[in-house]
Parts: sequence; structure tokens; C-alpha cells
Amino acid sequence: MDNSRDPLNDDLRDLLATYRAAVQPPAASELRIRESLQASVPDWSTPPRPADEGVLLSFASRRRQAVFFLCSAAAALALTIGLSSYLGEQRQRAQDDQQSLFQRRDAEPSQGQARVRDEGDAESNPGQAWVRDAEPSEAPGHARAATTSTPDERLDGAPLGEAPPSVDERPAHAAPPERSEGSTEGAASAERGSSRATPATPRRAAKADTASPSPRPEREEESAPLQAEEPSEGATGAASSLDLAEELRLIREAENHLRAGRDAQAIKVLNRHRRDFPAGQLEPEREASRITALCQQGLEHEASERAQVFAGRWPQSPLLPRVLRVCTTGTGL
Amino acid sequence: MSARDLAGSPTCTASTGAEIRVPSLAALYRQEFAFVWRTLRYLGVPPASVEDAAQEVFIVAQRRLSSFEPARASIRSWLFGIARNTARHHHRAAKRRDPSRLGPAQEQTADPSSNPEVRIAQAEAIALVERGLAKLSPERREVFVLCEIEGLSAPAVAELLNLNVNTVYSRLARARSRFRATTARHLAQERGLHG
Repeated sequence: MDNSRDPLNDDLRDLLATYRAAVQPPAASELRIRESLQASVPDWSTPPRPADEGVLLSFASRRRQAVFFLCSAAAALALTIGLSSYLGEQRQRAQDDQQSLFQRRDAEPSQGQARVRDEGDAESNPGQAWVRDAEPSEAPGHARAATTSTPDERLDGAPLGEAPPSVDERPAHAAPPERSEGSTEGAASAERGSSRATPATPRRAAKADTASPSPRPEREEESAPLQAEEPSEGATGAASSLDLAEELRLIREAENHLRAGRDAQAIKVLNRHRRDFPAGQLEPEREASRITALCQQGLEHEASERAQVFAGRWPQSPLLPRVLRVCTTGTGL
Repeated sequence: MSARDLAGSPTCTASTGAEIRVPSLAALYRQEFAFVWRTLRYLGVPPASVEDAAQEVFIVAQRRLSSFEPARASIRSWLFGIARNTARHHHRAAKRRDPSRLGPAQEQTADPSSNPEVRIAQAEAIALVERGLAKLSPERREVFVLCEIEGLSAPAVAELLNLNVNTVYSRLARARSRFRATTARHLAQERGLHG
């Protein structure tokens, strides 16, 4: 009796058997519950859907889940690789576009000069507003610029003190002889304006190569060490690629405005670039475009100051010849 | 009825989780309604509430039937889990409503048309056994009723309750001892009273 391993005695077993028989469900209760369930459960007599699959298919479903997971992982991996290569390609293309863009701009003045020398006049201008600077009877550029653009737009540029400049030579660069060069630049711009809707042709690229002897390889790599505030070094490739594309878009927009003579619009776009990418990868291009815009507005003095700053900050930039030549301040190459 | 009869009952043989496919609710009800009903009684659901509780068990079962995995547990084990939760819920609800109803039930027998002597014997058995079961902890009570009343083997109970077999043996031994101590005394008293 005290041994807990002992089974129950017969009396207790009989008692439990009687109890089990006594607690059987009454038939009436079973019927009531069945009717109630039949009324409330729509699929009373149909097995649930997973029931048809059974044990084997439960393993199969797990295998399907595993396969699905693996496929998802593979797809994600492929997408990541494809995206990164696509972004890298975009970045490369953006850099190439940028390179060709500024190569074209560098090449064009030379073409213009040659054409001016050959033809001796600039009468074939299609009538771009800023090109009127080239005409001899036009008023001095300072006065016209003061009327065509607001002071905000002109003075809203990047501060000159970004890099240690030497502004001692300011009077020398503002010398009158630049009018003649201005006319050549105007002629060049006129020629450019007449064909601005067409992309750079191979013929033009060949001319650019011959007209500007200075080599232009790896401009970004050369100027990179000088840009201590370059933010893209720590950025991810994807982000910097997207940033570069946006930068390039802004710079091209500004160039288009410049080419169409809309200096104020160009400066607005450049200001936007400066606001969005204060130390962007295309900062030299922005500055070069701004200097061009200032020149076109007739603000040669400020343009030459900025050109000097440019030369101090990016002495090896392939844009430097263009920047120094754009107003032909006498300090050009 | 002897222990051998119990061991050979259909309830026992059907308990080893042989169902591989998930049945429909109708089939489940047909196979397991009596087991669910008894289980609710074993676990202390008052007789007046058993019908509601049984219906609730099958409603819950119907809701969860699609997520039942036959590979992991037998349908009866799964149903026992639902019945256990339902019994606890009803127990708490009954306690809140009327604590005095927690005592041994004044049970009407299963078959009102049976012999009056049998009905008296069954009523006595219900009173005695449920008094003894009430003295057991819930864990021991589960093992005890499945082994001693439903006639399942210890491994089957271990599978049903997801327990170690040794745990089942241990709980069963303590439950037997306790049940014997309380019920045999009352049985002797009643025998003496009637004898």
C-alpha cells in the first residue's frame, strides 16, 4: 500500500472503471453539439487544405520554403552585384561625359580663334545676346553686365577666400587689351551656339585634340589630392555615383545656359550646385563655369581674380588653361 | 470491469498517434468527442459546463486544424492540449462565478434509462473519484487519468503530454499513492456504512 510503484488494487480499479462509464457523454449532448457545430462551421466535413498533403508533403513544403529562401538570397545577391556594376558604369559614364564636355569647351575657343583669324570678322553670329560683346560698337562689358544681371546673381558666387589666393595682380588682369580676346571668345561662342543642339562630333573631338596640345588624362585624379574637403572619399560608391550624376546634371545645365547666353540662369544653377555639393567632385568645373559666366557678364575683373584662385587651388587641372584663357587676362598660358 | 478490459478499449489503441492525415472536423468529432468529453470531466470541468466546454474545444480545434502538423504530434495529443486549456478557462470562470460549485458534482448518470442500482453505483463512483482527483495537482492528475482511467501506457502518455517517460512514471506513482490514500479511506467508510 505504501509502495508507490504498486498498481491500484482491484477495488480502486473497479471504481475507476465505473467512473469512466459514468462520465461518458450523453447522446443528447453529442447531438446538440454536433448540430451546433454543423450550423456554425461551413467546412464541417471537408478536411483543411494542408490535411491533404500529409506528412510527406509537410517535408516537401519545408523543402519548398528552403528553395524559395535560397532563390531569394540568390536573387538579392545578383541584384546587388548588378546594381553595383550598373552604378559603377554610370559613374564611369558620368565621368566620361564630364570629360568630353569640358574637352569640347576647351577646344572651342581655339577653333573660334582660328576661324576669326581666317575670316577676319564675326558677322556670322546667330545673334546670341552675350556675343554682342564681340562687336566693336558695343558698350564696355562692365556697364552692360551691370544692367543685365542683378548684383545678387553676380556676387553670389563662392567666396574667393576658399584657397589662399594672390590678389595683388588684380589691376594687371583688368587691362583693356582683353577686348580683342573677348571678341575671339565671342566668335567661338557664336560658332558654338550655332551648333549647340548637336552633340560633339568626332570631327570636333579631333579638332579639340589638335587645337589644345595640353594633355588631359586623369583630370580628376590629378586634382583630387588638392581637394582636402572632398566628401566622397568616405561615401559609398553608389551614393557618390548618384551624387556625381546629379552634379554633372547641374554643371551641364549651367553650361547649356552659358552657351545660350543665359548667364544669370547659369549662375543660379551653379549656386544650386554649390549649395547641394559645397565640396563636390565637380567643384573645379563649377568654378570654371562660374568664371566663364562672369566673363560673359563682363565682369572680367572678378573673373580674373577667381581664375587666379582657381590656379592656386587646382594648378594641375586640365581646366586651368581654359579658365585662364576665358577672359584672356594676360596671365593665361 | 477489469484492468485488462480497460487496456483493450478502443480509446487505448487509438491513442498512439497513428493518424497521419488531418481529418475533417466531422471525422474528428466522431472519433474524439467522447475522449474530449471525458477529459474535460477528468480535468475538473463541472458537469453543467461540460457541454459548453466540449463545444468550445471543437470550435478552437476547427480554427486551428489547418495549422496542425500530423508529423509532430498525434491528433489526440493536440486535442488534449486544447481540452486542457479549455478546462482551465472554465475552471477559472466557474471559480469567479460560484466557488461552491467546485466540489464533487452531483452527477446525473450517463444513461438515465439504466438500472437504478447501476445509476447509484455510478453516482457514488463519480463522487469518490472526483474527490480523489481534486486532491491531485494538475500535472499528476493528467498522468493519472490517462493511465488509470483511459488505460494508456506510460510511453503513450509521455507522447500525448510531450513528457519524458520517466517523468510520467514518477508522476503516476505519486498520483497513485495520493489517490489511494484519499479514495480507499472513503471507499472503506462507504463500504462500512453500507455493509
